[in-house]
Amino acid sequence: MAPLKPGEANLGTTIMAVQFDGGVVVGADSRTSTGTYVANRVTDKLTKVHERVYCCRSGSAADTQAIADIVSYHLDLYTAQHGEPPTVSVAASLFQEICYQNRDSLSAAIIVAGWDEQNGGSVYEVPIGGSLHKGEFAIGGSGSTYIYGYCDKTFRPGMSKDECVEFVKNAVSLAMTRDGSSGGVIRLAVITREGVERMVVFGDNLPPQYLG
Amino acid sequence: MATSFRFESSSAPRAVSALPETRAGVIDTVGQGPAKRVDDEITKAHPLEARLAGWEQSQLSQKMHMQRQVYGLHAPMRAMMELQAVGHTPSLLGSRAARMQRDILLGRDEMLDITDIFGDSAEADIDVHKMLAARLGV
Repeated sequence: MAPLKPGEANLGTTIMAVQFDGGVVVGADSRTSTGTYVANRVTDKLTKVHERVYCCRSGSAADTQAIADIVSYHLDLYTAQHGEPPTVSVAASLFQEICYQNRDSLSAAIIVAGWDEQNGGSVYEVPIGGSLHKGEFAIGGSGSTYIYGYCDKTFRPGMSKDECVEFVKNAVSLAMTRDGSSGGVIRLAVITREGVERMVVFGDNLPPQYLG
Repeated sequence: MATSFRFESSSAPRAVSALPETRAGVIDTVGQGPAKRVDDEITKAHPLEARLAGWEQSQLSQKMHMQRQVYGLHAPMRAMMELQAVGHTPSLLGSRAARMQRDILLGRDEMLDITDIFGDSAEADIDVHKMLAARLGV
C-alpha cells in the first residue's frame, strides 16, 4: 500500500453509504487537499460508474479517478454485451479486482453503492488492500474514524429513505467538524429504481451540533 | 497482453500480440548510432518515466483484457489481428496519412495530440532514402 506520492492530491475525506428498502443513500464531504492547501472545496466524490451504481472515493484523488474510469468503461462494455445494466456486485467485484491486484501501488478506499433489479439497494466497501465487504451501511475515509460510535449507535435496519438521508447528513457533518481533511459541503445522492436524486447541503444548513 | 488488471510488471516489456512481429528495417550504426543506447538502459530519474514510456501499450493491453473478459477471447484476438494487418509497429516508411488506418482502429482518428501540432521527433529523423538504400542493400 503506497502512501501518497509527494504533491499528490489527497481525498482525505468522509464518505458514507446506507442501504434502505428500495435503494441506497450515498454521501460525502467535498474537500480535496494537497498538504495543507485545500485544492478543491466543492469536490464531487460521488462518482457515477453506471446509471444506478455510484462509488464514493477516498485516498489518492488520481488513483481513485483512474480506477473509476476503468470500471465505468468496463461496465459500459458489460451493458453492451448483456443488454442489461450490471448488478452492484459486479461493479464492486471489478473495483476489488483492480484494487487488490495493484494494492502495492494504489492508495484507494472506495465504497460502491447502487440499485439493481435483482437485489434492490446494496452497499459494498473496498478498503485499502483490496478486500470486499458487503454490508447495510459503510463509512470510509479519514473522517470516518470519528463517527464509528455515532453510526453504530444510530443505525437501525429498516429505516426509511428520509431517515437514511438524515442519518448520512448528521454523520458526515459530525465527521467534518472534527476531521481536518474533511469539510466544505455535504453531497448526497439517493439511488432508487426511479433514478438518482442529487442533493447538496451547504454550510449554513448543516445539522446543529455542539461546537464548543 | 495483459492477463489481469495489474497495471505494471517488473519484467521486461512483452510483445503485445502472440502473432509474429515484423521489424521495420536494419539499423544504420554509422548514421543513427548503435541499436542499444546507454541512456535508455540507465534507470530512469523518476519512476513515472518508465510508465509514461509504455503508456500507449499498457492502455491497449488493458482494453484487450477487458474485451477478453466481457466478450470472450475472439474479441481481443480480432482486434490485434486487425492492428497487425494495418501495421501495428508504426512503419518508418509510413507517413501520417498511412498511419490513419491504425488511428481509426485505436479510436484516435478524431483526436488531436501535441505531436500533431508540434511534430514528434520520431518523424523528424527519418530519411526515406537511407531507409530504402539499407533495405535494398544498395
